[in-house]
Amino acid sequence: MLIVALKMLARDRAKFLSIVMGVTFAVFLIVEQGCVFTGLMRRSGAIILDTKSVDLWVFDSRVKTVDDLRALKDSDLWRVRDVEGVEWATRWFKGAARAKRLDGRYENVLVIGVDDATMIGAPSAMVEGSVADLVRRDAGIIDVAGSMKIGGVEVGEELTFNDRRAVIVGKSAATRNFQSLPVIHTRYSQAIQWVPTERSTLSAILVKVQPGIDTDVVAARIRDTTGLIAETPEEFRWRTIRYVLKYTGIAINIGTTIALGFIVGAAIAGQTFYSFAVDNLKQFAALKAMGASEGTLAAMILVQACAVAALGYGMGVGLASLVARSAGPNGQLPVYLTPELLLISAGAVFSLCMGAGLVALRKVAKTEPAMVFK
Amino acid sequence: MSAVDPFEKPAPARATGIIRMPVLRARGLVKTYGSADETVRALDGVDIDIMSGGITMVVGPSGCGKTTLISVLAATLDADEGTIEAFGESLHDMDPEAKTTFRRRNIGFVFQQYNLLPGLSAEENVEIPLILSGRPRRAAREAARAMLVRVGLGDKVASRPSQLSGGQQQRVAIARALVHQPRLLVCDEPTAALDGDSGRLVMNLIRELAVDPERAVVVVTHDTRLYGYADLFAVMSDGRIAKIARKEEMSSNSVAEPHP
Repeated sequence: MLIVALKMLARDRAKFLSIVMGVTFAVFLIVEQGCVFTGLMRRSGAIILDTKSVDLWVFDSRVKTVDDLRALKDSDLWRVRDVEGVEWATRWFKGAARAKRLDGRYENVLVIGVDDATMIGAPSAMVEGSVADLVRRDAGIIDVAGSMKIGGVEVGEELTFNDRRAVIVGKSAATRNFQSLPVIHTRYSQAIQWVPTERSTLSAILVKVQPGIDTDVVAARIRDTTGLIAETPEEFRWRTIRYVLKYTGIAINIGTTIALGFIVGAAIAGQTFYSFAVDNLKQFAALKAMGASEGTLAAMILVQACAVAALGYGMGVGLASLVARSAGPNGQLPVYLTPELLLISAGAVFSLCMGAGLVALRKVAKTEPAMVFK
Repeated sequence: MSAVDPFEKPAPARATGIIRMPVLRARGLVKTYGSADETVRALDGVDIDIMSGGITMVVGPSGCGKTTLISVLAATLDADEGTIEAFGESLHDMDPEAKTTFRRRNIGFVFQQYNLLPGLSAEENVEIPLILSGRPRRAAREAARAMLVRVGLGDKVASRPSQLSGGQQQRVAIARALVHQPRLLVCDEPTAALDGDSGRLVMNLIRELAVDPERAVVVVTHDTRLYGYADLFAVMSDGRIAKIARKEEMSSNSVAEPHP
């Protein structure tokens, strides 16, 4: 009877399409806005994510986000290195500067300074050039998206920061950041020349924990010994995300859109599904009269709901994926499709369709089989 | 299995048209519609026996309670009062689930508006009672096709209802009603939506295929042209059985011979 149910569903093509379109619309809004949300959240912690091989980030205890780092003293680096369980600790700098091209165009950029000797914190994915080129004089590596934002900066091109010369020696595949600013990686010693700084220049300390030692234990030791915060990259990323959620209103704005998508989708799917059931009441009554049990009818309607949900979900996710794909690996749009988002949206849309199916089922369940004689 | 000639004139005295024994016995049926302020007593103490081996025709003017009576007899509607014994079971004591099972096993329906599922082909429609009974799909398909051949639609198995004429749709409905060999066939105004030729064709099919010593057939109609197909009449008036009569006992004015 489940095949019969699907054939009943597909018979009225206009109604069938309107149900599927309603669900598709809801899924698209939920997934697409969800992608924007996760994309923005990912961007907010992009610098942390892109800094590989690090077990702990150490920073000032008043820091709320990676975009609001407070300078540490150079002595803090030595204190951290002395903590038991620390394999190595390197300096890390982050600052804002204005990059000027020779033709006079300029753009605000983020300058990341990594340890001169080890290059820990340098881009892990290069599109052009090599991290090793950072040892060259005035060398900097720009992210691909950022290079386009400045106007198509090429490897070998000279820029100026703070009236100091810079040479682009490579392009990285760095994840775009929350403000969509170009990111220039350079040596620490170079960065503090490019960026006007205060007396203290150390933004954070990157730590590797000795093998076999619990990262949490070392983090606690660093906190106890130095009074600084030591967090894993994931903890630091979530600290940043919480700050963004709390102070930007993004969650409310995007959440409202997602809720609207769900409500509108539910209204369209529910209303259409209900009217579909009403239109087919006599057929359901005939099936009841012929001996279809309540369970059989319930299974039929729920299969119809599942079919609508699956089709709408597939089409909605497909559309949202196209939008996400159009952003490209270093795209301009802050969209990021995650498995969790797919699961959540699947749960939402199947709940939506099941709800609509249950409303229809209630109507069918109340129908007397004798109705078929009227 | 040969197809029935739908225009064959029925033989009123055929062996299968001889009333055998009561298989369904209703006593004191009462069914009231409406609110406390305004009630309509659609059934007002109906006593009736439905016999196997022939056609019992429930006749009477519009609003006399015919449809309510077959709804109750077919276990699709609960009476407010009264008892029904059908094939040795007490319908009035059954819960809804048991009634559903009873209908599935014992009753075939032919409706005035056919009520075929429009999204399904003729054979898929005919399969439905078998699938509901748990028959494997392949066996159901074979039985459905054989039944469609018997009603003269062997070449229409794949046709959708919208591709069939009204008479053909009702023949599919008859095939659907009989494919699972029910012990009771309930026909509600089976020719009301058909022209004269199609109506006769449908009634001939019912007469030929449905009338069986082991099966009771109840036809509700107000079309006097069909009276010639009946073996027994239950004449209703104002929610009551005004008269139970054999065909020969009905007045010549009200009983016409079957149309050729």
